[in-house]
Amino acid sequence: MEEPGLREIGCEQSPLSRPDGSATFMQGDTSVLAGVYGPAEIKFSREIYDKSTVEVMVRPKVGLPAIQEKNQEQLIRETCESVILGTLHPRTSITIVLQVINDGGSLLACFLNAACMGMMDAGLPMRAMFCGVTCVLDSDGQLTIDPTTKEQKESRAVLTFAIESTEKRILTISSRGVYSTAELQRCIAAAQLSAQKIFHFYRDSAKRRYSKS
Amino acid sequence: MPGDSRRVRGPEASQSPLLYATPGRPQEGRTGRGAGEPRAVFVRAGLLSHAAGSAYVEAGGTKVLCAVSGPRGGGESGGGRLLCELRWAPFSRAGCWSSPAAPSRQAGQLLQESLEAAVRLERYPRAELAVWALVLEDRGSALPAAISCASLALADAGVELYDLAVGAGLSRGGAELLLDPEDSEEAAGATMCLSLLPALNQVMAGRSSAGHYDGAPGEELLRLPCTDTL
Amino acid sequence: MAAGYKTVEPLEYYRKFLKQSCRPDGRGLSEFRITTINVGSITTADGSALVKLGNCTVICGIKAEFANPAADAPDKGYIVPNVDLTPLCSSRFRPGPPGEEAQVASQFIADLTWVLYCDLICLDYDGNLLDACVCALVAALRNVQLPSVKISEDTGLAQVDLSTKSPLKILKKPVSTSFAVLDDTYIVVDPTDEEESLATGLLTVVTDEDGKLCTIRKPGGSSLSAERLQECISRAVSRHKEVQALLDEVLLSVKTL
Repeated sequence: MEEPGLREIGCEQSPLSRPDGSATFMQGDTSVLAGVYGPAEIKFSREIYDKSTVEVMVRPKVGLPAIQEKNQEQLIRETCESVILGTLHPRTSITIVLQVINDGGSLLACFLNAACMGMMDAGLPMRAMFCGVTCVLDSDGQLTIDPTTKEQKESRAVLTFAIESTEKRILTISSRGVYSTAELQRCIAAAQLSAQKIFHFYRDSAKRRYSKS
Repeated sequence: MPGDSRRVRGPEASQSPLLYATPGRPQEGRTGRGAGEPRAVFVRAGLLSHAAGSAYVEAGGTKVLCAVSGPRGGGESGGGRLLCELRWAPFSRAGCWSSPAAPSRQAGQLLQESLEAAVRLERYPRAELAVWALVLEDRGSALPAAISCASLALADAGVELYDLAVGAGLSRGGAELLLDPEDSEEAAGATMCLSLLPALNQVMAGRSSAGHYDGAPGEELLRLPCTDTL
Repeated sequence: MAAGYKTVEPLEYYRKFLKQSCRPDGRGLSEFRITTINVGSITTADGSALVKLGNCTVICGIKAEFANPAADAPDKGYIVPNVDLTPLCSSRFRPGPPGEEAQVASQFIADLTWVLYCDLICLDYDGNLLDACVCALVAALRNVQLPSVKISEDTGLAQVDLSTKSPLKILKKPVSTSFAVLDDTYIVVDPTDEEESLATGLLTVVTDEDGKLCTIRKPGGSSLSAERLQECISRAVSRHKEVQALLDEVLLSVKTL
């Protein structure tokens, strides 16, 4: 059985002039704009004495952020914190703002990718890169990588992983729906394969950008 | 809370099934105790691990939990400050589900008035004491139980007190005055809540709902609850 | 002496224990704290449960009400779960548990559905809130007794008979198991507040009775290999059996009363 691959991915680096780093990441119809500020000054009450304070804000397309966004914010923040070398900038704040431009499925994965590209653009010191991959399992156990909204709705289980670039290990997992352990392992393997492609894409876009100037 | 984005929101409107219930079940009256007889009380102090002091009071079906934090630096000049908050859990009342709205201001105020008179606040200059009470189940007289519970929690925290404050509930059922009313009795007539310092024989604060009282219920009240809490 | 050492060098203090495969509170690495479940203690709620994991205490009360079904899901009711972290336990606030996979057969009655307001209040916080919450929620759902409802033919209004009550039909009974990764190497189960604050990574696995996974939540932190993840899942499956046995026993004891 051939595993279907990722949708077309694209990015725009530094689309915004005011933040320290910014990126737009597109996966098929899904697109997210990330703005990264920092390391910057921080309020005394929120500073951490030995590392920088990472804050993530998720802005939905319409309306105010609710619980679902809060949950995503927490997942993304913890993921970013685990790769940023925060100890190099103690008592500072790093703020990542993620604005949904269009949600066509696999939104959380796209958030993670946009956040990572934004941080790269801001030149933050990182231990490794990471990328987000979403897989869905339908009722027959068929696996689809990078699903659309429709595929996500019809599926039995949706799993999103964040994978780091050095050893392809798993940083973050978030899932919904019921699946077996074997299916989980299959999803992890498939996600690791797709991660390779996304890291290639990261490298290519960085190369393109810096070779021009 | 309809506007609160920090909560999982349900449908816009819902009704309690009790509204559709076939009526006719007679209200159960006071069972097994006289008008001046309080319900059995269970009291336990120091059960929360993270609070400076805590207490749990159960009077009949009414269950109240209270925690005290502090004294910690408040920064204001003069004597100490006491912060009180009293909340009802969304599932605590027999009627419909109530959204976990802001704590009941009026009830919290009475709690505050009662405790301010009992705590030796002048012994805690520039400090802040926070009292937090939660009604888990309200089967009548929750506010009096909260007052007793809060003062016990303060004592458990080692806060200096003039005396352990005791709350007493009273409601008027027909011609009789009922001590420690149950929820059905509270709904039927006027209610009153008093807080007392039994050792000093003083009334600290009181509040009553619509209705008038004949005679002097306070005297009777003073006598009765003193015996059952300690 | 030991208390001072713990305050000054909490991580070093923990390492000394972890090297001996035990924890400061005397537990092994994959040992849970004593779990206590009490159901039906709140009589004003339609279903309730109190769960204690060591010091960590969570109470769940469920109120059932009628509402009109949502337009996009006419055959489903609502479950509205919320978690309150009150100043009683600590002043932290985290909205809604993410592991809400308790799938309940919603009862569909003409144009009315049940809405179950599940309010979880943390009374005493000592780590591993998620496990306690999921356990309290499932126990309370299994404790729910709904009155029978008939739609009267001539008025079209609902008639509720409070004297006959029936329990909810529950399709899945998930159990959550949380782990903390300390020092990037040691995985401990059922972390306390202290362990959570020292942890370099957290992981929660929710399983159902068939040993399938309902949710995995791992927010960042130390990266895990697939093998380590598998170890955690096996522990979660065995934990499910422990909790299930305890729950069945508690619910049975309430029924026979």
